[in-house]
Amino acid sequence: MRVPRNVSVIVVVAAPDPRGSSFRLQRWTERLAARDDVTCEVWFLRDFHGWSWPGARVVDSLRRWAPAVFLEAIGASKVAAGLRGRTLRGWLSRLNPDLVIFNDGYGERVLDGYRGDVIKMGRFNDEPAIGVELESLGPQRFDATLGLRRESPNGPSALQVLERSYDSGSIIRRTEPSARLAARADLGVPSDVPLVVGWGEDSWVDGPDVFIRALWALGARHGIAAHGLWLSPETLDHEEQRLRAEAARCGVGERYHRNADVSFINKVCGDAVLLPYRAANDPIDVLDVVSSGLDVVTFGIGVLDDPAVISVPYLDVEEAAASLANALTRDREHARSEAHRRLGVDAMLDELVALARSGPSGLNLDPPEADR
Amino acid sequence: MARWRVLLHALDRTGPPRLAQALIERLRVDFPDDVFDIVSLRGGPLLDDVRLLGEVRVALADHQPMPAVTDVDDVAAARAAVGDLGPCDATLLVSVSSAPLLWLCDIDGPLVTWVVEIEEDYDPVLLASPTRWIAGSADTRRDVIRRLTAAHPERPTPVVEVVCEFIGTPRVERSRSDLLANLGVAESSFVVMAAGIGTARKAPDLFMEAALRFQRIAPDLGALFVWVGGERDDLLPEVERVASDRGVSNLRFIPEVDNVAEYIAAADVFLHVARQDAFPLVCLTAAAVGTPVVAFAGVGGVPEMMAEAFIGSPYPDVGGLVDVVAQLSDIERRRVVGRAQQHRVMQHYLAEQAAVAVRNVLVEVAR
Repeated sequence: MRVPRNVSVIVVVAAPDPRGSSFRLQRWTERLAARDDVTCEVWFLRDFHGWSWPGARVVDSLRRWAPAVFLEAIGASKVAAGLRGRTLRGWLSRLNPDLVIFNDGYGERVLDGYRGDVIKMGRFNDEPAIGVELESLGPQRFDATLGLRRESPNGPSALQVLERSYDSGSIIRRTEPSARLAARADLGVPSDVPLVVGWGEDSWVDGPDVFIRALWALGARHGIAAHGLWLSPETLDHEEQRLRAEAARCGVGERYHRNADVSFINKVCGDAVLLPYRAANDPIDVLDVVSSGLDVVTFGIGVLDDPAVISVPYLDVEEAAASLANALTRDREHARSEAHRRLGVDAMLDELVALARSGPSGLNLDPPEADR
Repeated sequence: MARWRVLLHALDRTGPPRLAQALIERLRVDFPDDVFDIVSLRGGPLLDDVRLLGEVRVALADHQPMPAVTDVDDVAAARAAVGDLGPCDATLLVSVSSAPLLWLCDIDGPLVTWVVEIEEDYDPVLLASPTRWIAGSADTRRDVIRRLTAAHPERPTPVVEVVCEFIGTPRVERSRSDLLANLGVAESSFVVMAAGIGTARKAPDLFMEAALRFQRIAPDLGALFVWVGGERDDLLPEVERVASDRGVSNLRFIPEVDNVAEYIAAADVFLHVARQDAFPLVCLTAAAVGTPVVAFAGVGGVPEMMAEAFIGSPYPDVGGLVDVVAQLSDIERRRVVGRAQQHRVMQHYLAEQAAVAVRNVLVEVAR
């Protein structure tokens, strides 16, 4: 049996920063580097202080490299530049990378003059890049992209890999049925009724009124007297009264619940999720929720690409209710194990390693089919 | 000769000031010896029109906040602005929102409160006053009784008479083709219109949802949803922004206009999506000019207004409303519904027949 060859991956980052996407990056690069079949290095473009990222190399340390600094001091700047370039290419040759991942798309300059056969991948994050004021974006001609959704902000590329870096094993342990039932009891929500959960601000943009009307439609159109739990961190009295009045007007006053504790277990204690946002919202926690086996119904704004994230036409309450009705019939435990398989970080790392092994000539132009 | 005092919350183009205007205009025709004082909390675009009907006094500047009872200087200034009112035979509050004038301007004497809204809080001074209560619709009456009973459970069930709201005869001077051309709208368009302030209660967001749904179910009908007014209110600019961001192409917003009746007359359908509206005068106007009205049931007075001619769906069934609107793309159906609703409104809700009922109550109270 042929043993797959080891691969080499470089992850290029401008500098460490406190974004959630950077924490995720650190976690999965450590996991990647721990694999027996992978050599993985993280290269920071710029010096940084006060952050520990073991094993990382700083590209701009070449600016401070004594031999080059000496040459510049004696007026041999071109020689210094050439020496720095050869050194950088030496690092690359030693690693012989199959795949180079550019975080936020920055750092293509590290490959200037390198003639090796390498797949260039751009990693695109929802949060804007930090500490890149002095960096310029290169030609952005990536062979592949990595991100939380399939569309790339820099136009279509040959291959799109979904970032799946959630520790879904931990989520499964934290969201066992007993934990969810206990959460419902604490919230005062009956345990023996279908429950739809949503969360956001009480503001109009986040759509709590749409949530209430979807609850009505579930009953009126599908005969499902589901309860609805809206989680909102803070509210004004008049907003809460307005929403309760709306629930009463829709005839779902007894089935509408509200709580200020927007904890993870509360988000996942229901049987389906509706995020009725009228404008883009931060989807970062959606895949965590999906990992617990829930379907998430949205209006397609900032939606993540996963079969359990169901996008319906904008503000179509009827379609949202139909999707919720469908979601409420799913086998939760089966969905949890499927989500674990689909969303676990190891699945993404397998895909990256396979991509690296395929080489530029083996790139598949069709994105992988999503399966449930 | 009788002297009546009419209290208003503002002289804007909302229902109560329009209602008061229609009332006074009609009574001046039917009872030319009657004299009217109009006292308003704030001014507004109707000020010049209302000045033609009687002496007008305005207590507060347009954006001046309502003073508290303890703001002695502000209260004194408001009283000075209104001046010495002199005696009158009876005072009519049009809407509970005008009640602060009772204490702000120290108004007493025979009092009639014409409640034209539901689910609004009542000023404690009003609740304590010996007012005669009348309600603008049966729904409103039920709400008034509920509130008065809750405020004074020790008292017998209050007597509240229904004196329906009404409108003056609408004025339509421009043709549909002129108006649509002015708006840059093709005459072949199927125009669905709404009008009102841009608050959550009037629901411009539901109008947008209706437009979106209509585009999905009947993309070939070339429908254009037009909302008139509300540009100064909280919700409408948000709805406009979201609609623009999302590229909702069959929806337009135009600012408040002087004569909304002729705009509604140019529309094919008037879609009233208010989450709550006691007895919307704008629906009376639409029916009076022959534009069929589609509205929610269960959240206000339109079913009572139109009786057997009502078409719509129960709140919050926006999909149902849209289906009804789509049926009205048939011109014959529009004619049938429009005629039935117009007949209903002409019979019951024009000032010519209805205004005298208000005066009758004022006369009873004045004795």
